[in-house]
Amino acid sequence: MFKNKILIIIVVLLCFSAVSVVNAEETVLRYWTFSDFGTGDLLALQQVFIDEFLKDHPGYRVEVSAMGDDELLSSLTTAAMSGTMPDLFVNTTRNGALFVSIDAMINIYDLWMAKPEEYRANFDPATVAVMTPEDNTMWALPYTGFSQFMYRNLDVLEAAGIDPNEEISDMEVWADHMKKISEAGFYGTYSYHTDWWNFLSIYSSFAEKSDWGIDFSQNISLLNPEKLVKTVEFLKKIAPYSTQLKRGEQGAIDLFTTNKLAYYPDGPWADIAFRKVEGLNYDFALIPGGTSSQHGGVGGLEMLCVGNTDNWEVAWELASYLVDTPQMARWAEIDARYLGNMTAMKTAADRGDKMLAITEKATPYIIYNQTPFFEKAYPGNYYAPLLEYLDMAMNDEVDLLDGAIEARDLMTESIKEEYE
Amino acid sequence: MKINLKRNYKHYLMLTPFFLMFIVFFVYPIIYGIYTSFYKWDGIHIPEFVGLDNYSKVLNARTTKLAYKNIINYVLITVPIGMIVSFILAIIIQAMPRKWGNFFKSAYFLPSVIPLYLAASVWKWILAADVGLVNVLFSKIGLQQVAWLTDPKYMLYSLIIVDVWVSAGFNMIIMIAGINDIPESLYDAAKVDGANKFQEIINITIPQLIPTLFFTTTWGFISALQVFEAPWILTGSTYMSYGGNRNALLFPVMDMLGKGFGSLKFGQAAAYGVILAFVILFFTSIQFLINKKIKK
Amino acid sequence: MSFYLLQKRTGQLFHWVLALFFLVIAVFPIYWMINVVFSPEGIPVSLDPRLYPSSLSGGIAKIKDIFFERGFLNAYYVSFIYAGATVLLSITLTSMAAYEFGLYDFPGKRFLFAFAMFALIMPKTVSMIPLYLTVTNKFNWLNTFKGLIIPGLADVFGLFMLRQFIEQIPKDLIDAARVDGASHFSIYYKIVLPLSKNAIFTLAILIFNRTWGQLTWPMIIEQEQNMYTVSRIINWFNQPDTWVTSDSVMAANFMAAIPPLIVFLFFQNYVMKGVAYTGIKG
Repeated sequence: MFKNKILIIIVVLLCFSAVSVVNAEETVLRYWTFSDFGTGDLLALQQVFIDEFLKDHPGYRVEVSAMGDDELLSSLTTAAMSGTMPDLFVNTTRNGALFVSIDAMINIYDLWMAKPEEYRANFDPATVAVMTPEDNTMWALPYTGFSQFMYRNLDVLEAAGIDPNEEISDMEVWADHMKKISEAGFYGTYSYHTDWWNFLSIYSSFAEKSDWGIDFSQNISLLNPEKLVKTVEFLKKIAPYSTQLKRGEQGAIDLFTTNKLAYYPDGPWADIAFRKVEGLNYDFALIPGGTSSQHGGVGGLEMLCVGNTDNWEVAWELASYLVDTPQMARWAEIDARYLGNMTAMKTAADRGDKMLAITEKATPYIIYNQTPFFEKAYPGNYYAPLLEYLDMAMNDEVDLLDGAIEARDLMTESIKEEYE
Repeated sequence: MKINLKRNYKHYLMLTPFFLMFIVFFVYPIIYGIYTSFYKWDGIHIPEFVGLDNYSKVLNARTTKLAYKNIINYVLITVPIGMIVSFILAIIIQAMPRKWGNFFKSAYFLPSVIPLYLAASVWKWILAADVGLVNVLFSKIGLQQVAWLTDPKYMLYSLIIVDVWVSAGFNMIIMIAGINDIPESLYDAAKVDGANKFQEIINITIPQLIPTLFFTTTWGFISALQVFEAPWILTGSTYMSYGGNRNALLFPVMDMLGKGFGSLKFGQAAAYGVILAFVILFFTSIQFLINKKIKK
Repeated sequence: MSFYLLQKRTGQLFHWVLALFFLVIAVFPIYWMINVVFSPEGIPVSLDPRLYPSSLSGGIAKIKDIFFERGFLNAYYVSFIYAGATVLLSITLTSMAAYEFGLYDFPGKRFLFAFAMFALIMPKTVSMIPLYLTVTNKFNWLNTFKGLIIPGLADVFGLFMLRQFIEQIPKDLIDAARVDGASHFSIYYKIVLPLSKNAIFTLAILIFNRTWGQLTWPMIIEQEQNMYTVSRIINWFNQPDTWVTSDSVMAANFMAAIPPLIVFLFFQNYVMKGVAYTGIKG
């Protein structure tokens, strides 16, 4: 008897799924975005925008999918491959060249130019230029961006006897702070050496913009071995004061939000999670630099692309609606980060938003995550030699400078293998 | 032949749905995979015939060597430990009064009910650095913390813990079934000779259980060679970056999927699959031959 | 004699200590998972470990959060359809084939059966990439239930298991039915299926658990959130940059463990019989 009931339940469920398939007479617009944009408050806000848009565009439905960074990238590439691109997607400009090589998005240049002058004037010309690598070719709409800073847990600093108002003049002082914090029974910061992005947060404190990325004219890695060594020396110094968890890992977030970890360098997205935590006492500061005039941090730009699909016309309209000033101004109210729409961003700046202020302060110092944008795709596994070197160096298994040079050469080799 | 078909068509008709699925979704993809392995293909542009180039690329890649080194280490440790633990569990239960035996049997089997990916996800948060239960307890009693999931020295063992935890109950059930098939008279004879429990196990249970042990080992071996879900979750892997710190938990299936979906090298990924198939079939046939010998 | 008795006593003590030791290892992680879920929100319990569940409302809040904020409810729905449809369709296919292989002789029978059994030794993961290419490029089934369910239906192990069982059905029964004028299909439907009830149910449970525990295929074929299975969501939660706390991961783990645990509690004997069967005949 019981078995029959199970069968009935299964059949009913199957019927439901069949019904939901039949119901799909509306055209579905598929919209893929990052986890932080596609969950919680920002998702709710975007749903409002989408509902507004759909009022004028009956017969459509928008399905939003949120994914982690890597997952979003691999889903997009496989979707391009099987001809099932989403109609709209968000990604970072550092993957731009890859998307171009697999025909993931349409060239929106003509559509963009057809927009009225006053619409286009809202956007940051420098960012528009990034999206327009050649004449008559524009790959995406300017969306958001970030200049990395660090979150400081003020309760931990206080418990360790550190005055948060005192500026951290250089990395030496910063390391001393972390030592104090560790002695007081807390973690200074998270672990940097297992992820290239996290590594860059510290490397950028010692290096210049020209020390990072690939020079595709000569097919060489621009990594600077001497500065890499300096970074490793610093990382080794702070390792005893740090947790072994890395940025973005669930446990590392737990440590910061439960007042166990002091310095958490990250992008603006972390704030969305942190400010939800009741009683969490934190602020923003610049990542210290090798000298008092320097600072560190990773920078990046996010773009909104129109997928290479049959629905590109309406997808373009939705995309240009989403980044238009009234929408982005509402966005800026709950998430004041760098916005490609300058007019909207200014509303947050006028409000005196602290996160936007620190973003602006950090911008001159940051190194962009993976440059050049929109030129050529990076080889797969490009950072593997760097990461292997970092782990070996942290465990004293390699001569610091020789290993650094070898890592750079291996990275260069992988570029040459791909493009020569 | 015509008459035959007329008489037999109903048989073939009933077989059609199964074999249709079987051919389309099993046989054809294997052939298609072998075909793809000779082409350079990113899945988007037109495939380009490259002969055996994919094979030599895969065989010479550093990650391939690492993945195979890891899998050998893993299989050689996890399969014996798994067998020993399951055997001990089976013996423990066998020696219990029936009522308790059933209770312990269910309890030991419980982890095998949990899907592998889930077990990995649970253990990940028990083993995590600084926030995981094990390390929190370690620090409470003043022991050095262990980075189970990021220190290459320990990562393999974390995976083995998960694997043994899940599979021990499963193999235990099979072994209990095997032990139950051993004729009672053999034990009675041993008792007359004054053998103790331990001697009984050594002299009767293990030799009688060899076919079962052999089966579980083979099975464990083949599934261990294809290990994927547990290390994937433990290292928080994605197609773009997988294998954990210093690739200490990089295994062939992970590498194969990464080559395909991460770097869009489907030709190489297909070649990787063909190579892996040969490796597994090689071991399977060796074990099959040994099995034949044992049975004789 | 007393030495022998002492030896026996210590042996027994050792036996029970060992038994309890393994009991703790087997059950504790599952208990710990429940413990983490049912603890106050916002305070990761492992940082301040306590060995008993301390907040029912905290647990419910976490479960609500993953269900309604993180798309777990939909994943549950997808997973149940996936597992349910796989069980139903796969058993239909395999039982039909097993009926032929188990009861009849016809030209090509041996070849066809050996052909299918070949799949048992062929590692499944190896055909993942080409299978993906087939399903997406030839059928265009990316992100659909069809793509999720259909490729896994031809279950060779199930065929093997059911054939072993159906073979043992007395031939007289079949012949008697034929004499009564039953058609080929109705013998299958009205006689063989009811007689193999037990074997089919065991197989159904095996397939359900296996499908529920499937991560690799859903990960490959489903990329959109509305098609995420439970396994897929847990994989997502475990990746960096997803802004899920460890408590939510545990809550998701807990909810994902419930269906197989319930199946086990209710149908323990079937589950274990299925496993033992795997061992004896596999």
